Amino acid sequence: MQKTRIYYKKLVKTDRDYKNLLINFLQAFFFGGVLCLFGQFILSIYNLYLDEPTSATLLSMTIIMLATILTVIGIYDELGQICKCGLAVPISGFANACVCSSLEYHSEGIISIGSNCFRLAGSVIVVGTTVAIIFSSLRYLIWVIL
Amino acid sequence: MNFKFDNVYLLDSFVIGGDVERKGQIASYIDYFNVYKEKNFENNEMESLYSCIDHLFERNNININDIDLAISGELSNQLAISHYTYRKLLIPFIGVYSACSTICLEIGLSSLLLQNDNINKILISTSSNTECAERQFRNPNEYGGEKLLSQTYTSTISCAAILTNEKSKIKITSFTLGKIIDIGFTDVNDFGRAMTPCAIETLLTHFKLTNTEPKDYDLILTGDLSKYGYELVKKSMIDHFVYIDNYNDCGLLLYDVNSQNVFAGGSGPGTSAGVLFSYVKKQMLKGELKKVLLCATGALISPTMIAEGESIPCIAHCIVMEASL
Repeated sequence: MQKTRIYYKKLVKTDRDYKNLLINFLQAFFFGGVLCLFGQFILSIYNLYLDEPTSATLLSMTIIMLATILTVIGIYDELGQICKCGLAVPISGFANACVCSSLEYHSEGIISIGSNCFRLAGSVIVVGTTVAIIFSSLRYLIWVIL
Repeated sequence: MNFKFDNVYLLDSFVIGGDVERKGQIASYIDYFNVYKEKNFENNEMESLYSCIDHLFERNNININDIDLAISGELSNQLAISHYTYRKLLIPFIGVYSACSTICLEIGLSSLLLQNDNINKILISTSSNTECAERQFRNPNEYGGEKLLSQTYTSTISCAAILTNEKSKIKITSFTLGKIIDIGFTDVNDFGRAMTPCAIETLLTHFKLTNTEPKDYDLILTGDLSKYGYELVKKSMIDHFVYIDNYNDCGLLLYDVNSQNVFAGGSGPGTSAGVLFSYVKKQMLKGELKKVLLCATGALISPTMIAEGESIPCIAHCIVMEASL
């Protein structure tokens, strides 16, 4: 080799663009809060006409519907670029992950659409369920012991 | 390893660009723009590649029977796009995979094959498509997750060219075959910096084996190193050769990084091929450039290996294109 691996390692690791980290955090925090504020606004409107549990369910359905429509139109990824992580969290991020994966494989038929629906979001379901079982078992054991 | 040629000429080439390239910096040099709306993304790329070869034959009044063999390659899994396009053209076929440095490998292999007296004309082609590459290597196209500023944007370009033994105005004079270099870089969102070591390695090898220096060339181009890799290569060249003012990057030439939404620059096998066969070729025919060195770099990854936590091996090949009188 003309130059050693150590020379290349030093050359490539010189400057990393980390100066945007703080601005990224603040942006994600702010836009996550904006989404929550929007959800609370919708919830208040529903609470005028319906009782508490129904309006909470209806709010989840509304947010999932909006995320799906924005993904299908094609502007959710541009919004995600502005809002950073604020839009990637459940439930809007989950709906987006399901819909965009199914959209990609629409030309492969119904079975491929179905199996690719949970390609990105499947890990959330598996890990969430497993952790729930572990912690609820622990809680039960502690209740039995004490 | 370096080879020198004196009987390899470029007959003609054709480049088709997409929507984002139409607003780029070298849009006036690209032959044709079209947006294909087929059933899926792979069909778009196949239509684009076939149409490019079609236009090339039509412009030169050539039939597929005049060509001896074809070499093609691009980024898709199992080279599906090339195979499914060339099933319509009954011609002896060689498929090559070298990620974003495919065009240099194709030109080099064609030049070596043309040394055989029985072979007179070789058709080479390559192609890239934004949606296909995004879907295969990263996330689905409409995914809301953030794309980092160090990523590059895969261009939507198809190009085809014919290399021959008969004299013409542009010739290929040199080819340096690169080695796979892996320094342990693991950040998949930053291919520009990952491919910098292999670009520097091949450039220094080429200069040493041909006994030349950067000032002997009118233009030195690297393939798709993004604006971050470009700075690092420039710094390394200045350390070696003191002064360099004729170095640029194809991904930065093709797009305007400041005004277009392309993050850190262009990428894909179509980028270096598109710039070589549109901008460089036309400038050479006008007489503005006489000797150009292109060092295209490719990151030889697979999604499986990346998911398992491996680092990124890269390769770079380079060719020299000159204006012949």
